[in-house]
Amino acid sequence: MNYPFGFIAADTSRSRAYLSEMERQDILPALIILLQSSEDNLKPGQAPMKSKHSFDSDWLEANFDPCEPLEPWFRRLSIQYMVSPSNDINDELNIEILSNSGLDLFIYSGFGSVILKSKLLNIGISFLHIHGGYLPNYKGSTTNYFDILDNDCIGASAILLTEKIDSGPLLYRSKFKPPKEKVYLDHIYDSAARARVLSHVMSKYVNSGQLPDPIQTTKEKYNYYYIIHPVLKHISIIK
Amino acid sequence: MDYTYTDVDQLHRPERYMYTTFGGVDFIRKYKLNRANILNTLEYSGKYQDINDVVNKLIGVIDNNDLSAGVIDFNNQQDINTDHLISNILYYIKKKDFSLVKFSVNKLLQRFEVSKKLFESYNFESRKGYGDHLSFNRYINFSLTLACAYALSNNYQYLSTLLKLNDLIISTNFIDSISEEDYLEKLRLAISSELFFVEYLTNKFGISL
Repeated sequence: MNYPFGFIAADTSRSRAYLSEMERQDILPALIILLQSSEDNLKPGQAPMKSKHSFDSDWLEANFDPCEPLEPWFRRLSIQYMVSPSNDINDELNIEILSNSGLDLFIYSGFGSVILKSKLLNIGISFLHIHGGYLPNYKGSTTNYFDILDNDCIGASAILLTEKIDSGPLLYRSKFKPPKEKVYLDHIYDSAARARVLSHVMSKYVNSGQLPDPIQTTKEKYNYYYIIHPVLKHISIIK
Repeated sequence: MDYTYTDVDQLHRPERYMYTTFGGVDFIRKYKLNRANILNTLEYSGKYQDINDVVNKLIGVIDNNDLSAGVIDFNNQQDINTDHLISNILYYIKKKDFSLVKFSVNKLLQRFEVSKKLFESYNFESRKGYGDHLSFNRYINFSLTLACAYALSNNYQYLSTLLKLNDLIISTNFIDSISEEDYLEKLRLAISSELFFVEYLTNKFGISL
């Protein structure tokens, strides 16, 4: 069933994980805006994966084909979609498309570091982003590897995007036991964890007609994480 | 899978560490070999008993003459000299008072992670770096700083950045041009402590090498 929200997608494993989970829950968007591919500025989970994988039975959200062509998928689900000529969400063309969509909520799964500029943030649309990490403790990049080293768990958090990275209103967050095959964390399980959190938030949205109320967090300054060094990444995968 | 992060001069071709592939335990063995070779070149064969021993040796190599006390004001919009900032950080680290300089370390770490360079000075408001970025001693002092920061905090981000910084230092062949013994000694300790931290972690997590 289609609901009155949009989905900004890209040719990435993350967008496929989200769509697969939305299909599984039968909570489908009214409109998809597909951003053009750009491999110059991809973060983990944002690159297309080259082959299908076997998935951990504890992670139904990981049961998606990271190679499935997107447009035939959209058509199969009868979802209206547009292919944007620009991969930059802040591009005037995208702002115009979004402004004319008639929707006030979009799930964001685009390219690069997510920094929306004020012009886009002032068109009356909320942008829901799922961060791959437990906020506010784990801001930044590849945080789940650090969380595995610290606590032997991974996390994901639903936030509304603001001009400050990983700092918008926190709607929901959860911690999970890591998958058995952590080697697929970048492309599969990070996206699956995000899809699980997305599913929770969107279920609440379609059932109550509104997003969860923001969670109050402490004002404590937390660390910001940068891409983990491969030696530490190996230790977190093997341990 | 070889350890290739020190093969190309990173000051000219910065390594972004994006989408690094998984090479299993063998990759960690190759890393250890890489560091063992460089320590051999540096004629270092020391051992550490435990983390406290590491901290004491790291702090012991910090020269009192290189230190500067006081509060660094990041809000006055003026450029901050990087060598002065590191001297200030090391002053408090020498007193094992890391909490006082955690903010400063994080600021400089952020600048290094973004550009993979250490400039002569920074304006932390505009986030811009100025001046030369080829001072070997500055890279070595920051490496020492990060080793101390990790030892005193157990924050894996410091170890992650230390590994990247030492990759960079080794990749540039700085070592051939270092003539001052005290900087050589700092470098020996920064690299050997990094290797100790990694070996400590593999032992802690039961990873058999």
